[in-house]
Amino acid sequence: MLEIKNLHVAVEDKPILKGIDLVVNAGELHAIMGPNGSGKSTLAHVIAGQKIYEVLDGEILYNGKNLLEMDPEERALEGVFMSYQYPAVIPGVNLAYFMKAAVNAIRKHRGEPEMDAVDFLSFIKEKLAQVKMDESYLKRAVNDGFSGGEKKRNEILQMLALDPSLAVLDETDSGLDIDAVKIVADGVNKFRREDRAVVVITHYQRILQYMDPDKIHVLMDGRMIRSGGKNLAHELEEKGYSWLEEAVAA
Amino acid sequence: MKHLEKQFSILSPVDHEPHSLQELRQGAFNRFKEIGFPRQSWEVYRFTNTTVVEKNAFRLSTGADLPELGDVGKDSLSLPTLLFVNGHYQPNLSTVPAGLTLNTLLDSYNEDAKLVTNGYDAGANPFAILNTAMMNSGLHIHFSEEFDSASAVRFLYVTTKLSEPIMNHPRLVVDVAENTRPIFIEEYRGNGSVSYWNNALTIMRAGNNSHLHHLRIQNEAPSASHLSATFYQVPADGNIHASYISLGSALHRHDVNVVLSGKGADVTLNGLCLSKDAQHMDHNIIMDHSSEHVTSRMLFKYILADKSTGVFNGRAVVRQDAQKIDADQTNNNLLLSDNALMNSNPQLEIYADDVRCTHGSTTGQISEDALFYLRSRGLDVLSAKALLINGFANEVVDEINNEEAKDYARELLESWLNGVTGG
Repeated sequence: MLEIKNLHVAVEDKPILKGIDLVVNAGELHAIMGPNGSGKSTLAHVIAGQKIYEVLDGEILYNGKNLLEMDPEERALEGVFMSYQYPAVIPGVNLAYFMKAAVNAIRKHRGEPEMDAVDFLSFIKEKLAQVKMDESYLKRAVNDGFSGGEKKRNEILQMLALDPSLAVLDETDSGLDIDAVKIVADGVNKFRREDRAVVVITHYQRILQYMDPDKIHVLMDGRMIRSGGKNLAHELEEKGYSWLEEAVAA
Repeated sequence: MKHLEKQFSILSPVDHEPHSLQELRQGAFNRFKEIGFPRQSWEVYRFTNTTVVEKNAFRLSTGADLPELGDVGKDSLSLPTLLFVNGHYQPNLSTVPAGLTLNTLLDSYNEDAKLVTNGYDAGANPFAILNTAMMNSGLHIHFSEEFDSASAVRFLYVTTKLSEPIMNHPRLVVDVAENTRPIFIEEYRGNGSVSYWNNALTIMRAGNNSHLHHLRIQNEAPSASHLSATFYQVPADGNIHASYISLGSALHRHDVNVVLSGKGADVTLNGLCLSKDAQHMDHNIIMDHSSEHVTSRMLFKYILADKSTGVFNGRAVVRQDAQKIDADQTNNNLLLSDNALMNSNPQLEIYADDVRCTHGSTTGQISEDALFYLRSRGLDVLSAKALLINGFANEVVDEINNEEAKDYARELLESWLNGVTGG
């Protein structure tokens, strides 16, 4: 589903990603781990289509299509979703209005009939319940005055409602207490399906305890320095990133 | 000035007006000549150029300017409406709801000369003074206790089908009885390419414990100049909640003067300005807290496209004995173009010591982060921009407390947005 080949990316002429290769198949959940500043968030933003990142070399294929040639909205319509570490605040626009516009944009793109207000309400109420948000959020401005945990649950809500094929979760667990981490992980587990893929980007191994990753990759200084199974996460938890740093340098 | 003098001389021998009223007019006109048209060297006109009304030879509207009415003023609003066309009241096309009494200003003047100003002092505002000299479609209205609580009435001033540039100096004096809660809508609308000048003055006196909701929509023709002043006198426990939606005319200037004169008085002024092309919109507001224990809020939002310009001058004054004041003043502006320009000047003038006053002003462009966020959820650029602009404007529109009028304001916003975003 997602194929990244030799990806080199710079921000303001500073190289951040220095040759990334990654293949994520439908049905899989991959975790990308790494210390701060390793390039994890850059990778997520490049997949979502953030233009401040300059792709110097390499390519990203999504279902065989060149993702880098698509506008951010095209990527979303084609089924790429990103959960942001710092979601933007949209003052004055309530969550219901925003979500209805987004859900209907995607339905329209798929040739499905747009939902009216009544259908949408029952649809979104079911999704809200899955991430333990009550209906009062629908009337609140998107992310305006939301706590860190509320913002992250709101991201997962959007993932569940927009029904993407590929979800990239950027540090969705950071700053959350253990109950919120479980809610987020539970949302991801409900989302997983044969025809969907998930990439979880995280600094900590903690959230992975509640998930079942197929592969774990370690990103450091813009390179994937190791890939492995679930055990790699435990090893990192015990020994820290410096262990791998030394192992690579050796 | 010569041109105005001629216009005044045509107007002044108004046979049926009492001598004292003619003197009032003459005195005001003399005063106007002393002061003259505003100059940009004046602090309150620093960013606003009014030479368009000085140089153009507008003549006073006469009965001959009344066009075939047809469907003039017809629209989707079913609210009781009083219609004025090119400065002339159209009683046959108007609905006066129960509990609203309506008199010509002349009749009210004959009954009580003070009613024509109703406590308002135009100070050194040249256009308000000129309105006193030239006022031509004056009305005095009274919301009595029989007026249906929380129901609305609209005064619709339409300028249309002109063959020459005209001017009008409408004056509306509004009294609100104690304990009443009217919704009063004042709307200016125009079309056509012939330029015209509306110099409107609205004087409102709220009764004790009355709640007046005032919605003011300025949707004049693009060729128009709309200069206006609004005065609110708010006594004990009086409540004014005003929403101004301004999107018409080439030149818009609105002087607002609020006096909170009794304990428990509470005033909210909200404004939304939508400007494009080379439009210029200016609000000059004085919120005068002259009693203790009063509260006020000002929230003005400007959305400026193309090379349009805006001015916000807000001044909260707290008098020496006016303790326990709570006053907020906010001006937020959204620039949709690199060529748009906003001048914002919120000011506090505080002579009491036990008060809470805030003021703040922001001017910025559409947030790139917010835009990207919406696009990455599948919205195209135009829809995403429209959603963000709507969100910015909603804070003002949402507070209009009549559903029909709120929908109407939303429609105006939507169609304006379609015009500027090309959507």
